[in-house]
Amino acid sequence: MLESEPLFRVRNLTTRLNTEAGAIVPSDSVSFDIAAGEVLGLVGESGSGKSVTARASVRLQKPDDAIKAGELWFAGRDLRRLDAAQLRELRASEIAMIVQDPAAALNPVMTVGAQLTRVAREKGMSEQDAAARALELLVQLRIADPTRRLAAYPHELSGGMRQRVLIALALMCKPKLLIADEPTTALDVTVEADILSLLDALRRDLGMAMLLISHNLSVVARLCDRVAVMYAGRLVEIGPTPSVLADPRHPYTAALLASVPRGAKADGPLPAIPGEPPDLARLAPGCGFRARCAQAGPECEKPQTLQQVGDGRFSACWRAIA
Amino acid sequence: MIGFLAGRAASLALVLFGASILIFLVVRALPGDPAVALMTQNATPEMIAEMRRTLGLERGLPTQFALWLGGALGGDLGRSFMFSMDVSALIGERFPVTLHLALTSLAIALAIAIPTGVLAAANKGKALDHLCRVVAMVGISMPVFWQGLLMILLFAVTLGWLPPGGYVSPASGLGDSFAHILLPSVALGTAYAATVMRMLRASMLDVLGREHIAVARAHGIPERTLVWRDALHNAAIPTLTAVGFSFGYLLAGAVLTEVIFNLPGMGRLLYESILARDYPLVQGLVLLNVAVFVAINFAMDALYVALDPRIRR
Amino acid sequence: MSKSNLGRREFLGAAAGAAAAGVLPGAATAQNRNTVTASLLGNLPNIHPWHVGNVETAAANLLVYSNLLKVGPDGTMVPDVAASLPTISADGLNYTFELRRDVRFHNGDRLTSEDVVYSYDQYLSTARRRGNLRRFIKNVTKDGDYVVKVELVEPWVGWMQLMGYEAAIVRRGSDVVNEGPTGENLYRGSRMAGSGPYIPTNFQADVSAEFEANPDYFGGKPATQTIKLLRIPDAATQLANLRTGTVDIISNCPPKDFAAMARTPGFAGASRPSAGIFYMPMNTAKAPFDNVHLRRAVSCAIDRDYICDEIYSGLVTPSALPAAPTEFWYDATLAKQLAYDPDRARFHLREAGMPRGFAFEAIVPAPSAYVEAREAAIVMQANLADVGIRMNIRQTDFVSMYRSAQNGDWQAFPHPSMQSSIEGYLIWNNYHKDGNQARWMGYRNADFEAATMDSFRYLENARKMPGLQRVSKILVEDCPALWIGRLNAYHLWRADISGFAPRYSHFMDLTQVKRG
Repeated sequence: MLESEPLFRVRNLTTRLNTEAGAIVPSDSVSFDIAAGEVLGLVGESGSGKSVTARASVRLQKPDDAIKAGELWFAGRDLRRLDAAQLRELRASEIAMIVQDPAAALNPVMTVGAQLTRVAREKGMSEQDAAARALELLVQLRIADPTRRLAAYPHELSGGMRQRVLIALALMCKPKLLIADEPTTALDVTVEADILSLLDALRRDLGMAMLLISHNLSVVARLCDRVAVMYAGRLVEIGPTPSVLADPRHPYTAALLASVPRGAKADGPLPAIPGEPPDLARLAPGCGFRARCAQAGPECEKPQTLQQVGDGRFSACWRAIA
Repeated sequence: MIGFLAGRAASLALVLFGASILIFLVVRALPGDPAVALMTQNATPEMIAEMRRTLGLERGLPTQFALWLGGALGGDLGRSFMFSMDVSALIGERFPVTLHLALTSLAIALAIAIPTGVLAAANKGKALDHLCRVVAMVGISMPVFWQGLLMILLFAVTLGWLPPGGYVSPASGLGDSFAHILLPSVALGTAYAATVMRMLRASMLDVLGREHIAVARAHGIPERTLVWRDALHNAAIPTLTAVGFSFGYLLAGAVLTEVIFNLPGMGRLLYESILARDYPLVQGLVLLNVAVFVAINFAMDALYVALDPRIRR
Repeated sequence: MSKSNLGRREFLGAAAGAAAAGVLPGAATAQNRNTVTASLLGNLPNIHPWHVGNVETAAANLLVYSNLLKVGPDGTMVPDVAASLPTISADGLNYTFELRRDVRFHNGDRLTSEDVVYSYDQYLSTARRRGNLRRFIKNVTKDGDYVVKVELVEPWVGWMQLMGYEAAIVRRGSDVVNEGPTGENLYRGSRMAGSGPYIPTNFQADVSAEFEANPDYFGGKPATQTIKLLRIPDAATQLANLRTGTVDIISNCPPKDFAAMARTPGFAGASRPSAGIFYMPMNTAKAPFDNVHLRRAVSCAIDRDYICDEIYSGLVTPSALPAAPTEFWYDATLAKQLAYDPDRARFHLREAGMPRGFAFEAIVPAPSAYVEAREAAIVMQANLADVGIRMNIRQTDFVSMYRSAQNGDWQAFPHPSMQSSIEGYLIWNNYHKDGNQARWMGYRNADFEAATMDSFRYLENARKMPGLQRVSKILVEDCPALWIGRLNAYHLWRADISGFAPRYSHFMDLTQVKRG
């Protein structure tokens, strides 16, 4: 990969959340890099900590003190050292976000146009420029009758249209990094394909890096340069997408791939892997996957860390390292 | 929009008609005879019979109802037995007092509830939140009459800053009027503020946890805008119902507050008209209460439309 | 309501303590020296010459109207527009009143016998309470311009007491009808109908009334130019208003606060037994109280001193008889037979064949100006339980209660009651076969009726006594009611007020009130 300083570097990010069931650790010493213009996929089952990890990495997780340790370097600055005002400077213009449920992600009592333009207005753009930018984005996102849409409220738009608006919102100020948290999960298949290609095209135009969270391996295969696999709050494997998908170096990655019906178009949620995901509130040291792993042995009870296992490839299974 | 309003007006008329039948029957189902109430214990049966004739109570119920409804449609709600005065004239004297009290109480309640509700939610779990919640709990638990008496003792009796009660119409001096309405409005408004504040805080917490707040935050919208604009606007919608109905109760008359602060309002009048079995007065007042609730419902519908684009069409 | 009253009173009790601890009367609102404001607890629906039955209406009535005689502070009759007390014929049936010649109505017309005859004719044909008087008064005639003769059917001096506050003289031609015009209407335009010391200038039903001194009043121009009546329907609030100086005199205060407040510098107060009584009639026509021993058992089981001192803070004067201990016809020996004595109560239970007690239902009216009625009933319940009698309390309002009473659907009814006079009215009204309440009281005794009518012949106490002694004796023997005590009239006022005192009639007489 790139030898120079990456755009975004996460080191040993650890988060802890207090829930009713007790304290959970959605991210346990998570480290990854994203280069400028690169797309990193983050995959894993529901509840594996993907979303919390992604949001925490750009300090969007609430409460803010959920982050217990780690360094978050973005364009040469440690995000953990920035105060609220400095962070807000980065929002939208440097780092933006798309989320899963476009119906919930837009303020229902504000017009689409107002929600779009105010993002740019916060960065000092004039009202006219902001309106023009919003219109331009809706056109680029192939929304029919864009002027009228800007005056509409979110409930007056279809799901696909709302997701496009959300993408427009993220792109208003041409950020360098986009956190896309399952951006198409709520949409039906045809719309999903459409929106993914639009998003990818716009991303390329802007030269924007992206952290794409998904549990859909075919989406990851299509869009991501590299993929990171997360299980129970830890990264278990990371590497270039084609080689990881072709030759998984962690039993969990292998199980994920195996559960995708061969030959079928894998667009649904991941089929189940036998056994239950571990309870994040009661995590023991050692490999989190060992209870469901066919090849588990005594070694697995020791703490496992990511180790290089090939060209740009890392795995947290001692068997792969050995 | 005109069709919507016409539809509402028609249903309003229907509600009022149904209510008028109910009110008429319920009032007459009260045990006790207005003739007896007017004559006291020393009346002979013959005198009571004569009084019943005078009051028109010897006629059949349908006749009485038809006469009353006919009058009511023309704005004539009959004559109060107790006061020997037209009911509509009495209401005309009393309703402004209650309306004045209700509006001032509402203003005070909102002036307290909105900032505290919003700040408590925005600072959930912190000292400010706990303080607001404790104060609200006290506000809800403390009976209005007790709080009223405490305030009379402190501000009127001990400090001598404000009058201990009575009503002065704004027409006879705004300052004097305000001085008289202030204590009862605070007593009523704080109790009501506590309810609204808790409702608002809960709605705010719900809204602040929603994804669109997180998304807006992720795009650099300042926290203050998120709380005071995005969240408050959304949270105001469910809170409005509580505010509207409480306002309806305020307008129906706050009996104890009116008694403690000696305000000649609707609550006190209704209470006494029931004790005296003053049928025309009870009917008139209850009918007015129904009309007030219907009107508030109507106003709330209009406010929902203004606040929530989702129900605009 | 009564529950909140309770809380409120307890609170005010504490507050009065705080007041006694040194909170001075608040800065008085600048009051016109020539204005006196009094507050009233109950409703003031009108200013009517004849619809008088409570402190509120009476206070207004006394200011505006005059009567032949009026009731003096101690209950004795004193001349008003009559020049002196009437002469009464030997058979007690003919009364002759000589009128003053200097009485003018508020519109300037002179008051003559014509007006008196007109007023009585109208009163007897339309007023709400006329039934009491119509039974006794045969006719009212004039003899010249300044003499009025009243002929009765049966002897009864008590009619004058009722007249003393109820049947005011109005200018002839005034259309005072029962159900229609309010007293206020009598004061529209030139229709001013009264001849009292004050002329109403402002009236808002249930809120306030204002009166100006009548410069031509036959008793001399009143000392105070303006009198205001203000309705304040809560006793604790009345007290607060007195303390801030927004009112000068209050009709009621929570009984617990009375003594402390009357002692507070800057304030004054007084109390005296009135014609009001706190008692519990028992339905002698119906089980269980058709048994005189059970009635007596109840009477002997009640600790009147406790109720009067603890519940009413001394503002009910305990008595086991209708008469108060200070009154001329009170008989201490008789009182002992019905006084608190649990052993005697048990004795009567045994005599009745119910040594282990019995149960009855008491209808307690609420709300009442005497909010303590409910608490008193609870003490009674406890007293009765000590001897095995169970009193079940049913709370209802006065109107529903009278309906039950008139249907004979009641057993016992503990309540405070205002009367024009106890010995001159109550004994007849409750237990004489022609008395209005006797219809539902259920008690009949020909000897009692004869004794009552005998006492009704005379105005002088000494001559009334033989009849009243027989009345007391029979009442004690038959015990148709549990007598608990006589209600006191009590008021508080600011210390700079004079010319005002509580009265036997319970009504506030503000005609002489002044500052300084």
